[in-house]
Amino acid sequence: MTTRTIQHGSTEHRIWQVLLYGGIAAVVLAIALTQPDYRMAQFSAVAAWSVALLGMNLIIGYGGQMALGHSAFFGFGSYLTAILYADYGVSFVGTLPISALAGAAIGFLLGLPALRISGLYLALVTLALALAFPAIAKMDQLSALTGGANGKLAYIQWLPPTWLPFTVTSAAWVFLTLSAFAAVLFLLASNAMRSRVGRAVVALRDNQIGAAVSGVHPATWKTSTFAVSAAYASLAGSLMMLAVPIVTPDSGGFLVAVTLITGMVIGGAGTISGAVIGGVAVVWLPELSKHWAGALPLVSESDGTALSTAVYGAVLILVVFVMPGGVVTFVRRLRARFVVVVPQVPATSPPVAHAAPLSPTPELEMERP
Amino acid sequence: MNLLQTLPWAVPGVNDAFFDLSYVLQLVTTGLANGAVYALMALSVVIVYRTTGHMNFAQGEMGTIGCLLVFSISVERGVPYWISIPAAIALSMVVGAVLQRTLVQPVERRGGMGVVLVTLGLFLIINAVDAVIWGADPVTPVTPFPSEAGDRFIILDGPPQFAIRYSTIGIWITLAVVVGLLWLLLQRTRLGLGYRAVAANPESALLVGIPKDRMLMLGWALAAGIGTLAAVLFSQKTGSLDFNLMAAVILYGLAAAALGGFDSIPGAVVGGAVVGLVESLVPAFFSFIGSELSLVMALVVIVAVLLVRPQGIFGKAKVVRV
Amino acid sequence: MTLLTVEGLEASYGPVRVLHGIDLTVERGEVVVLLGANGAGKTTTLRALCQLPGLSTSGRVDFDGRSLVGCRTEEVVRRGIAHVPQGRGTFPELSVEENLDAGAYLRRDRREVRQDIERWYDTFPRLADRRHQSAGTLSGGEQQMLAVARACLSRPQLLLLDEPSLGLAPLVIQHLFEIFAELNRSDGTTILVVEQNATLALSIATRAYVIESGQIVLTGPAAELHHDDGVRRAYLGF
Ligand SMILES: Nc1ncnc2c1ncn2[C@@H]1O[C@H](COP(=O)(O)OP(=O)(O)OP(=O)(O)O)[C@@H](O)[C@H]1O
Ligand SMILES: [Mg+2]
Repeated sequence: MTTRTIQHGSTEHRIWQVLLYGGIAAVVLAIALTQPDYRMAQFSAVAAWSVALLGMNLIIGYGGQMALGHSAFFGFGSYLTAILYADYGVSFVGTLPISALAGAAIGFLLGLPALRISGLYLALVTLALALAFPAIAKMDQLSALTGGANGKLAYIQWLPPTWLPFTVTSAAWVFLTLSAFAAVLFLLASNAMRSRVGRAVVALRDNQIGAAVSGVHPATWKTSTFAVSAAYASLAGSLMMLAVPIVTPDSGGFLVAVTLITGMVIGGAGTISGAVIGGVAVVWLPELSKHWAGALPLVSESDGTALSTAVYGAVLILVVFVMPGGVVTFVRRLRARFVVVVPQVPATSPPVAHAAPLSPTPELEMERP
Repeated sequence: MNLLQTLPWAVPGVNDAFFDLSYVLQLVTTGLANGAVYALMALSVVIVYRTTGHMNFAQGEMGTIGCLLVFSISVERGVPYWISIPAAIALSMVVGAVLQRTLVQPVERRGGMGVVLVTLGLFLIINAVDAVIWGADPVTPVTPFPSEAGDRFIILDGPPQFAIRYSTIGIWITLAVVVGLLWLLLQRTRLGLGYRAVAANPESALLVGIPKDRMLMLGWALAAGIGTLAAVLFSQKTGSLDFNLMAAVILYGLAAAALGGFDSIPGAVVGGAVVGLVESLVPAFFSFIGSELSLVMALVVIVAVLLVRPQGIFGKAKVVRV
Repeated sequence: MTLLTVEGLEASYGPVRVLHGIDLTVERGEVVVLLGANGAGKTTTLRALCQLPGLSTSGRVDFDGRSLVGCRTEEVVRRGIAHVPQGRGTFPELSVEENLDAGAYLRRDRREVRQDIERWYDTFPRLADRRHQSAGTLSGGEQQMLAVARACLSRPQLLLLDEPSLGLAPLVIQHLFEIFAELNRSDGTTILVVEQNATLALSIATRAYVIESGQIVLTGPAAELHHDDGVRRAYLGF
């Protein structure tokens, strides 16, 4: 088998890219037009989850910081949108920038300690944040806003507009909307990671002192990466309100945190496209595992729920053992046997633009505290 | 009328009840009893951390399953506790060593985030297995110590009245015994010397012929045994037992370990006491902090320690000269 | 009689190949020096002999007639090799006495271990004065003494020394090398020593190897190498 070499930015590369993006759009549209409503809700959830996973990917995969409690930001975003929409009459779209900014602000404030707490300690603090989130959401002082232990309901009106050239159900319209938002956020992240910004983040992960010497200010970059990733998670929580109209204290809790981690690891830390695969895994793993569990003798319905938790755990461990780079890295290795995309040789761009090749963390290598 | 209550200390947001001596003594006792359990969890964390530099986030769940085992043997089948508890501890130790060997060691060599992920995976698996085997509803708590309402020492025969339950004293004695045995093991035996050598310098430990891998397994085994004991005591202390028994306690244990600097045994004990006291006194003192916020307080303790004094309260600066 | 035979030893740290086929032999009772520039692979050679983890090795390593390849490090030590790592590698949180006890970890003859420890205290009285002090508080020279004593407490047949003179005052170096010579003479301990102070090392050595970029480039009797022009220029500085 001969490998094919394609230059980045060449016509051939462009064609492949257009085909890829077009293919994705076609698949999304096909889902919207053909799938029943209950499936549509799941696909909508995939779109929202993948945005949260993208946020985690930015800080963990690219930034190399073990920030594991993004469920807290996710839950925060859901609550914010639910409260603003239901109690303050803000439109759904209007809640999104607020959610992103508030998420970023909180992320920035929490990111400041990330300068001093790194490695395992950061993992500890962020997991503790996820563990504590439900308690905060249930606080008496906040229960007027959050609805206490029962959670908050917000049925968001979201009907397909009349100008659509085809007719879709409102569930399908929700799915299309979320896919569009997700697509924009993905393109933003992907471009940012290919730009100087992304190189700085990765340079910092790979070599803190070296990066500092070459002008990347560690404090600023780490905190900003954390803030952006928190904004993504918060936005994802907001988007999720469109798909699932209720948010409960546990939406931001430990189990969701570990779910997100599992999704991220399955997709592949430090890969943009891994976030979508992770989203698919997060949505269908429980269903599949309940299905498998049901096939086992001696397992009751409620045990099925517990077993789906166990399946998350088992899959998490399994991926660490057999596919440490996640699905995307696995596929990339496979693809590399057939096609190699080489970066364009720039004639005029400044040397810094291609100084550090962008590399995801395939093996989740990270500093010890 | 209590004298203290007449003093003009009425600070807004501060509970009057706080000036009731018998109530305060009771809060302190409760805090120190829970604190002893947190101290045991912190010891488990420290024992693993010292040699491996890892935190086992599944430590609490491993304890829960051990405690549920004690429930099945003693509460359900009537076997005396002095048989079931040592048996459960021994079994946990074996399981801990096996898990370290099979799931942690291979990943540890690769470094990075793998071990954290594996312990999180273990957390989910064990939690779910508990729920499947013992059900999601609470079961009868295990009570190795006398636990009737009258089983207590009267210390002040009121008013103000003050009594300490036998079970509380039992918890304290257990902690003291565990610390004592641990000290003997680490300071007075060849095995303990090997463990401490690996903690101090893993490569040199290998070069003097200490089987490092086995020391890491020993750490996990000890931690698992102590974790099971902690879970049993916590079940007795709180009079509750279900598959989520230790889900929060691991966080208090981690907070206590953080206070102690993650590598000090006395630090873990003092840290446990501090966390227990904070948990019981702060909500009583400030009425606007509900007791349901103890998890948040644990989080605050962890962040505060790591930010202000990452080396913990005992803060022994590393004694290394080059 | 040959104690150690190394043939075609290759070693890499992850993807980085550092040793490209080392061949060397050490006869029983010899003192052999390994010379080489910084980064030539001397430390790596010693580490590979001990089968330390983190280093993937291939090639033949026979010690006392049996292969060491694939053994665990503790097994290598049990078979009679002791290694004083570069930069001393004491246990800083343990007391001096505990460091020495750890050196005898594999020995069961507690009484003789006690005697050996006392003998080393006689050799290095500075350690005796500090026996209950934690090793991390010792000076560099004291730590080197401790590292040597600790290694010898396993009663090795072969002692691997990695730059024992590093950072020490000339008098202390002199003292240490006298002790090495004495160990070799009276206890019959075979020694493989890596040393930058080539003159001194060659003065107690029987033979020497020169390693360059992970390969042995020169070998011969110590006296001969001492007078070899190339060696003199490259490693002796005169
Ligand atoms: N842990 C490691 N990972 C990757 N490369 C390493 C590692 N340790 C050493 N090296 C590389 O292996 C080569 C040989 O190193 P080694 O320590 O064996 O040299 P040396 O001859 O002992 O040098 P020196 O005289 O400076 O002690 C060097 O190029 C070094 O960069
Ligand atoms: Mg060296």
